[in-house]
Amino acid sequence: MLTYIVSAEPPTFDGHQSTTFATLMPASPHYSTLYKLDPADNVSKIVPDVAAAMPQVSADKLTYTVKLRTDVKFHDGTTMTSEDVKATYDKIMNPPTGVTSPRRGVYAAVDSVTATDPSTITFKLKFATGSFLASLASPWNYIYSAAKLRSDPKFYEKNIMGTGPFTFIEYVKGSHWSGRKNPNYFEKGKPYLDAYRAVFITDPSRQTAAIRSKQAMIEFRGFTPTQVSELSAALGTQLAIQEASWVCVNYISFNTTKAPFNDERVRRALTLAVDRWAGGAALSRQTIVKGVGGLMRPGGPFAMPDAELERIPGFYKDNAKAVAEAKSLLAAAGVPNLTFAFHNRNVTTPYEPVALFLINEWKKIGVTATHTVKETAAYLADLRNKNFDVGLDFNCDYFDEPDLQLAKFYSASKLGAGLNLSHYDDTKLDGMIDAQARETDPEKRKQLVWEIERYAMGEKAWQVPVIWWHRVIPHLATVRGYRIGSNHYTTMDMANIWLADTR
Amino acid sequence: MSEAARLAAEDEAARLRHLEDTGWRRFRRGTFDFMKRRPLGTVGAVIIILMIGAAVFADAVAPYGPHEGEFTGLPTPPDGKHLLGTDSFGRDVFSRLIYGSQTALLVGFSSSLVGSTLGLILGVVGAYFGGKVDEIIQRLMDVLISFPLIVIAIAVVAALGPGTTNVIVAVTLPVIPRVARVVRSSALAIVQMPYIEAARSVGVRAPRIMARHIVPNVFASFLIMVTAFLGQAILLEASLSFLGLGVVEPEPAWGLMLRGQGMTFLHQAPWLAIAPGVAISLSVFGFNLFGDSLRDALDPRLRTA
Amino acid sequence: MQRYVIGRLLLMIPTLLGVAILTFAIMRVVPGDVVVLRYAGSGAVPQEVIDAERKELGLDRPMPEQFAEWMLDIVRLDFGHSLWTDRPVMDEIKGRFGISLELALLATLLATALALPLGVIAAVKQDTWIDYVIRVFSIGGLAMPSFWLGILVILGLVVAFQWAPPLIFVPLWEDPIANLAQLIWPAIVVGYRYSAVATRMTRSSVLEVLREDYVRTARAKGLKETLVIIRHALRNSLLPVVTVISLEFAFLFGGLVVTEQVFNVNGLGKLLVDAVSQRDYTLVQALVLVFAFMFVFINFIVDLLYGALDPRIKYT
Repeated sequence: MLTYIVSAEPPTFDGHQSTTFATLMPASPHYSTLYKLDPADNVSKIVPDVAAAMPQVSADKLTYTVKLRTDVKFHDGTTMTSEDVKATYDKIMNPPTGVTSPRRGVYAAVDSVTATDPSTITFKLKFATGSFLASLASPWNYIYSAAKLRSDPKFYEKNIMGTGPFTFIEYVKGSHWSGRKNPNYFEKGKPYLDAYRAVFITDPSRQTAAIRSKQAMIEFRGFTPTQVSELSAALGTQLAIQEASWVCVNYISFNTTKAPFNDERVRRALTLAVDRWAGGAALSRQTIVKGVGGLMRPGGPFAMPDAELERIPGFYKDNAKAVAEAKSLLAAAGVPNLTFAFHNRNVTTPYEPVALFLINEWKKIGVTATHTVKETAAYLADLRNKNFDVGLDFNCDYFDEPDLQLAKFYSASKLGAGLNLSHYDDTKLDGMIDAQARETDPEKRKQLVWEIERYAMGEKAWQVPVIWWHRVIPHLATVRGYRIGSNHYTTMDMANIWLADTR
Repeated sequence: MSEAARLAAEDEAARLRHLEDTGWRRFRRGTFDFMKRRPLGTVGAVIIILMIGAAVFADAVAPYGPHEGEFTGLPTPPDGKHLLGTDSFGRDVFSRLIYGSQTALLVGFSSSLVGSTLGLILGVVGAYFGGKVDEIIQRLMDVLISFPLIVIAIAVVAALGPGTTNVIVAVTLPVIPRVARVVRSSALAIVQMPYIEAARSVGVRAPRIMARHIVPNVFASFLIMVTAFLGQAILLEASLSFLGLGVVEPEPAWGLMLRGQGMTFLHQAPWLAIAPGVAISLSVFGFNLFGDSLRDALDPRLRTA
Repeated sequence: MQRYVIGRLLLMIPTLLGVAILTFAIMRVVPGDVVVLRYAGSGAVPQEVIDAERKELGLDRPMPEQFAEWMLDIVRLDFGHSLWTDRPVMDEIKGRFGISLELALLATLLATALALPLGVIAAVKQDTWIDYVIRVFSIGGLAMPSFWLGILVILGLVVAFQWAPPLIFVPLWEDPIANLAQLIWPAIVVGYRYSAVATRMTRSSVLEVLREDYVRTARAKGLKETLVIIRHALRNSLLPVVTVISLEFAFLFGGLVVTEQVFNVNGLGKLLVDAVSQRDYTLVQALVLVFAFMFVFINFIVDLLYGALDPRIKYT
């Protein structure tokens, strides 16, 4: 049996409605998706899950035809057909009343979903988009039973009934979630594990103690470097460590409805002051951030090369030049000794050290930021209600995909409502984001994305990334078959994991 | 005569001696007696005085400012330049401890003094007037005392903003009903005394009676509760920090230092946890030792747990 | 007596009502709600999703209406559904009630077992080095923040035995060893801490009795010192000690917020912290009422005990 730590409690069982790993980590073993990330890669390679093969895409890139496996059975014994897939995607794109769907905007391009025959499903798009395949591989899009959804659209909020490698045993809130091997799983020979148990532990020192005492074998989200060094000192060769960059980043959000943060000179000065190169190196020793990048993950397929990045304000290698420029910008804007409240949430990792770092950096240009920490609910409410000066926001995605990472840059009064916490409207930027979404040539698309980066974080400095997160997963060496990817959402079905016999 | 009986007799004698003394002489003799007969209390008093000294003369004692330092990401171990090393933001731990005593005393004194004073007033007023007034105050105190601290703390943090102020308020609120209860029960006995009745009948006003006759009689219990809650306040600050509801970075506060840098680097740099941990324990220890002995000296019959 | 009991029981109503109003008000004043929090996971969520769900949960209705409805439900002993899990609030509480009760009982037991002998010895040996050692030891329990002590205990166990207390609760009657292996550690940490207050109370209470005339008489009659202490002093000084211990029990029951977090014990304290930070209004309201009721009720029992044990107190 695999025992792993989950550091938060799932708000719902329904992956379609959830936005947190706390649902995916315990629940994904019960479900399948249409496509998924290859567990051996876990970054960008998409492979079929319940689909029989990769989709057939029409020449105009507007029709995706997906052949389904015919040997997939739900845990209640019924056979999965294209009706179930259609019901699933209908629920995500047009949720019935009383059911929410936080990511329905991602499927704005979809015109219709048709169950052509029991083993074929066809997606018709309104416009061609480069991100659609990734959307079909979304780890949130659990395939649900059409019959169950018909009888109760909210069935999946409190019940588990999927096609995944493990069946549901129990969930004890505040304690654990467990499942056992599904003997009828469609991939023969899998899963390798007989059972699994996710234990919920929030306190970091208790998490470390659990792995150290071998009560738990792995935690899939990521530990801080200090937790890792404790574990490796204590467990030596019994511990395996994997690390990778992460599609997660903190943003500095400016309340652009308020002076002086409506002045782009002030915003640019505040991002200029931040020496991300030195900061990334220093912070990576104590918390989960490391890489310097723009709006796309550094090292990822859309990342801007360092040579280009260095020309954008806030990414200069020459810190003295940046500080001087920042000071003169502040002087020009009439706020040389700017003072503001820096709004943060009361979560230590990585928010506290990142905020302290920023406050220190701003001190160098004569800016005094008062650290204002609130617990998560109040923090989010304040950011949404424009009840702040400057805040530390964050974003995490499951895939390197500009459509996902740029979603929060849309105008706040339009598509960006609730996502864009700098609360600005910029129709030019909206057009730029739309344009890259409709560009299907990868090279051209990259150029468009870089143009957006130069404009949105350099020229306008609407909201700016701080330092990209970095995942480190220390686990007992007996856990095999898990490959760390660039996110903590995918390949959580545990189908490929096994435990090595270490006698 | 047994040891206990002999000591009881000595206590009695000391108390009688005090009755003859007045003013400065009474204080001096009291202090001297206290030191001689309560070595533990004296140890406590010394710790408290040291702590107050550190807080008052922080600028002179601390080699560095509480926020001063070069950010490197890793703490450095104790050496000649930094007595207790530095944290990961390059800040001198010793200096932050010294400045932390300001926060500790600020939180401790303001919450226990304000809380105890409010409790004293409510307790005395309730006991003096009795009837409806007493009934209402008692019910309010019941509500407050049975209310979980965590809910109050979160509400205060969210309503008043973060930092030292909210910690003070969150720690003050639970003090009020506890003091009010004890004071009320001691005051009840005094209200029934003939001289209170006499004062009333000749038309002395209620506030005057309470201030002149009742408060001095319950003052001993008040003082003891204040010292008891001083230590509690410092611990509560630490607990609130653990829950992410306490003082926030970069303010120097012991609980925060322990929970933040201390816990993060518990294995690589244990001094970051040990230093504030010892400071907290020592100060709570000091306040409790002193408070305990004060209780023994002032009134061994006092039932303020 | 009967009138007194009924009177006291009736007095609980305004207290609990006050607690209910205060909880309701506090939770609504605090910014943020369960919907915002539910989607706190990855970045942000469109406003329409938030609004739709708020409506679904009835959080958009006027506050007096929400309060009136809640009160009416409570009168019918219906505490509603948790906003976070949508399960009945009583189901959420039921599972953890036993865990917290057991932990509080264990801790109280340990505290009493420590406090009674230590307190008596300290009193009898007042102002000798034995007294000092006992007092320093017991104050030591108070001097460490509970999370710090808890973390050190777990760390100590892990370093010494490569073993940590079990993470998952097993009821006492199913597997007593596994049960105790989990709960004994937090019970020790809390019990030691709370023994300080009880020790102090035992000490001063015994001291007081030792000065009473009848004890002096007993001594004068030439009774053996141990006999004097057991027969007269301890028995007569027990009352305030019992009071302190029961009141502590009432606090322990709802106050183990930090300890439960550190030891990952799935009790009511942890549930409350989670519920408050998740803005699970219904659950918080019910939990605070449960705590307040327990507190008021134990106080009431203590007062009754007082009457039963101390013939000088008469309830009229």
